[in-house]
Order: sequence, then C-alpha cells, then structure tokens
Amino acid sequence: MSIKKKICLLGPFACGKSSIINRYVLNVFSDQYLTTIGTHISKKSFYLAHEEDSKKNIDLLIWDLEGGRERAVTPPSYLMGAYAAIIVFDCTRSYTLDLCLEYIELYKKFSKNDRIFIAANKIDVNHNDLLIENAQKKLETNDIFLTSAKLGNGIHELFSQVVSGI
Amino acid sequence: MNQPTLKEHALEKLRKIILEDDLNKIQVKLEKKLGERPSIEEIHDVIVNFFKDSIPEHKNEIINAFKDILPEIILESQVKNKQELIDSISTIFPQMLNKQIKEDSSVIVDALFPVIGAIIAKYIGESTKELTDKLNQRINDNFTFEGVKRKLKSKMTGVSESDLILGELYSENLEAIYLIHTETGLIINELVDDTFKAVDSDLFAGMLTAIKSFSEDTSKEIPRGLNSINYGEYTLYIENTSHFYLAFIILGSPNQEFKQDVRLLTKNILDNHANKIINYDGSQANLKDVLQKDLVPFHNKYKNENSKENVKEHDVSSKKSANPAKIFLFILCFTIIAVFVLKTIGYVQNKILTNKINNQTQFSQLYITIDNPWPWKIELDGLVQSKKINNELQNYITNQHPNSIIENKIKTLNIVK
Repeated sequence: MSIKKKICLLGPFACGKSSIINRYVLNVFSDQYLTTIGTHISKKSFYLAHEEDSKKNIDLLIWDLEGGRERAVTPPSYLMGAYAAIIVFDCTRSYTLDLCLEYIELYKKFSKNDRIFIAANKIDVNHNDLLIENAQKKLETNDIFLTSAKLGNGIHELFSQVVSGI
Repeated sequence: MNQPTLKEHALEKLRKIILEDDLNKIQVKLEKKLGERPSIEEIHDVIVNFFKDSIPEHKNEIINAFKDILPEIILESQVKNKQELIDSISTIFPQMLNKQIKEDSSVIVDALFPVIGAIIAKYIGESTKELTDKLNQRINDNFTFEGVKRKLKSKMTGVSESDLILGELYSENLEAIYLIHTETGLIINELVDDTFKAVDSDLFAGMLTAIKSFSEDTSKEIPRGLNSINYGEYTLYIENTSHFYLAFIILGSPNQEFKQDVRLLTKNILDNHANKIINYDGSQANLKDVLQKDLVPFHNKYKNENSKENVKEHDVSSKKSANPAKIFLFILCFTIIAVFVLKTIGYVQNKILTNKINNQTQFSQLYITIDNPWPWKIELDGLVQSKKINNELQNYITNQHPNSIIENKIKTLNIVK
C-alpha cells in the first residue's frame, strides 16, 4: 500500500513547468515548446526512508497546469486537495514574478494549505542575483529554488524538499 | 539551392539516356567548330532548354513513344523503388477512390461485394455460433438452482424465460472498479479484472477527475456532474458523491439492476467509511477494508462470466463430469416421487384389505386397525377375544399378501374360566 500525494505545478505560461516535470519524472529535456492545454498529469513513484529503517512507498501525482499569459487562469477545482504547490517563474522574464503572487493567492484560497515552493527556472540562461533578491522581497520568502530544467540543476533538490514533509 | 522539380529530374534522366554517349561527341565536335571546348554544364543548359520547349510542342509524339513502355516502367519501379512508388500513388489514391464512388459507385460495390459479403457472413456465423453456445449452456443449466430461480422469476414478472436468458447473456461485464477521492483525484481503492489491460490507475484517476472538473465547471446548470463516458464497446459509468466517486469500466451498457446495485454500494461505502474518506490523505492502508467488504462482492456479481473462454471450458468439462447440483436435484425429486408412489400403493392396499376383512363374517366385528406404512409391510393392532381368532386373522392376511411382512400387535383378552 502506498501513500499518494497530489502536487500542483503553477505559473505563467512558458516558464518551464512541463520541462521541470519531464526532467524530474523522465530525466529528459526538449527545446521544443509545446504549450500545455488544461492539465497534464504525471506520476513519480519512489521509496522514502522512514523511521526504524523502514521505507514508505510514495506516489506523487504531479498536475502540470496550464499557464496564463496575463493573469492566473487555473480552474480552482484543479487545486483542491493538493498536498503542495510549486510555483514557477522565468528568470529571463521578470514580469512573470508579478504573476506569481496571483498564483500564490489562488492556491492558498482553494487548496486550504500554504505548502508552497517557489522555483526560479531557466537559471542557466540568466542568473540574475538582483532578480532573485527582488523575488525574495516580493514573495516574502528566502527559500527560492534556482532551477534549470535544461541542465537538470536544482530540480531534485526542489522535489526532495516538497516530499520531505510526507 | 532549390531541389530540382520532378520535370527537371525527368528531363535530366532523359538527357542521360539519350545523350550519354553523344554528349562527349558533341563536346568534341563543338570544340572543332568553335575552336574551344564548351563545358558539360553549358551543353546541358542548351539541351535542357531545348527539351523544355520541344516537349509541349511534341507532346503527342512523346506520349506515343512512351505509352508502350510505361507499364514496364511501373513494373520496374515496383521491383526497384517499391516504397517510392507506393508513396507517390498513395497520396492520390483516396481522392481517386472518392471520385470513382461519386461518379459510379456500382463499380466499387461490385468489386468489393464478393469480399464484404464473405466477411459479413463469416462474422454473423461466428456471432450466431457464440450465441447458440451460450443459450445451450443456459438451457443445460435448467435443473440448477439458477435455472429454477429463473423459472420462478419468469412466473412472477411475466417476462418469458427466453427473454431472461437473452438478458443474462448480454448483461454488462464489469472490467474494473475505481474508488476515487473527488478533491484530490487520488485512488482510494481499485479492482481490475486480470484480463483487462488498464492504464496506470493513478494517472487514469487523475485525468478522469480533471475531465470531470472541467465538464462540471463548464456546465454549471448540470449540478449532478459527469456520469457516463462511452468509448467503443465500453462504458465508463460514474456514480458521484460529494467526497468520492466510483468509476466502473463496463463492456456494454449498465442496465437498471446494475445502477440500483451501484447506488446501494455507494450507500454502503458512505455508511461505513464516510469519515475516513472525507479525511483521506493519500494513505491507502487506512481504507483497504473497503475493498474486501464492499467492492469485491459487487465485482464478483458483475465480473465477466460470459467470455468465450468460459463457454469453451463448460463444453469440455460437461463431457467429463455432470453437474453435481443437477444430480442432487434429480435424486431428490426421484426420492420424493418414489415415496409418494409407495405411500399411495400402501394406502390403496390398506383400503382393499380392510374391505375384504370387513366382508368376512368372523372378522367384521373385531376391534382392529390395519395399517400399511409401506406396500410390503402390514401392521395389525387392536383387541380380540381369543388367540384362535388372532391366528385365523393373521393366516387370512398372509394368504392375501404372502410377500408382505406382517407385524401383529393385536392383544388378546384372557378370559379366565
């Protein structure tokens, strides 16, 4: 018998949400951009070390949600019951950071928990410390994961942190 | 650089075929005439342009020249460049067929009829055989508990037995049951038939939940939510509640009895497990007893029992050994009938013997009872005046029924003189 958890990936369009999932689940990356319509669900199964040398079988059901261009467009029902959310913004487009706040509010309202993790993606293209500092101030958190789906940087650390509370 | 067109490619080929050897000769001759040797490309340009202009002018001559060898060219292409030939024709084949059907469909029909007729006849034949096998199986089960039950149901509902049998044959076959948490889309429990190749149940549940949410958000006027999806021969039947829903994958369509049973199943789950489901956190261990208590009996009732494999097994096994239930029922019926017959014979015998004894003067006034519990046994009871009369009576009865066992319990009065 396994423990199943629903994780939502949110964020503006073309921030690399699908790429992050592909990197984490399949360890692949493609330069080809295919916009996600609605939602796409992926599954990652693994064993988590538990107390007394036992292991827990964890199934993560990752909901890759369609990103909005100007505002958060996620249907509320997709967020309900989620264990945690990963909100992604694009380091190469600073305006995506502003949309993150909308997604945070949306998630908190409908999932009824505040287990939120922020990922600054495409760090390989633009590692801007000022942007990251700005993000920390705006989002009122120091825990921002610097990720690159292309190179695979920071992805496993991000998800390890997400599942650490299970 | 642009790729050469088909026409240019053909012209180049033609040039090579016709002028391969001559090209060098032309080069040499021109060198003599002009004093310089033109390059192959310059000659090529001149010749290509020449053919470009002359082919439209001499189209008929060229067609006449090629028409006799065109079939051979196609045949050669089949052998050497089969895939390219297929690729080039396949792009226009559907349009060709479409055009022919519009202009004169009878040609196509006549051409396909011998094949389609045979295919349809074969399919109908196999379906009829399968139906016959299933009907025979049902009819042979007439003396089973199910057969008797069906007869009673037919009497009570007024539906003919044949209709009931057909209804049983084509009832829904349940392939899988999923119990899914509505909010999260996570699987709580599942039962999937071994023969049904399902996709990953977690992904299935998640996507189905997303589809349900989408359709319910789109049509607010329909409060009950998505409850059925048909795909091919299968039906995905959904029973919704606030906190969970049940998804059934059925080969066929659900009938009223199935839907009623589903509602009952849903009620049982709600009654027994509502609190745990509301607080479901993804840990399946907390709700594993739902499977055994509620889902398994339901699945057993509706699982696929009418597969071809089952019919074949029945045909083979029926030759080797008879149905034990059928034998038991037969023996029981035979025993009841036999007992009834014997008791009747005993009763008739008793009546006849009693009449005979009453007609005998010496026995008519006696206080005796004669009982025939079985045709071969006569029991005498009562009170007579003397042993002599008792013995006379017993001898009389023995003469009437020499093969019967006589149990004489008649008491005699002891008259003391």
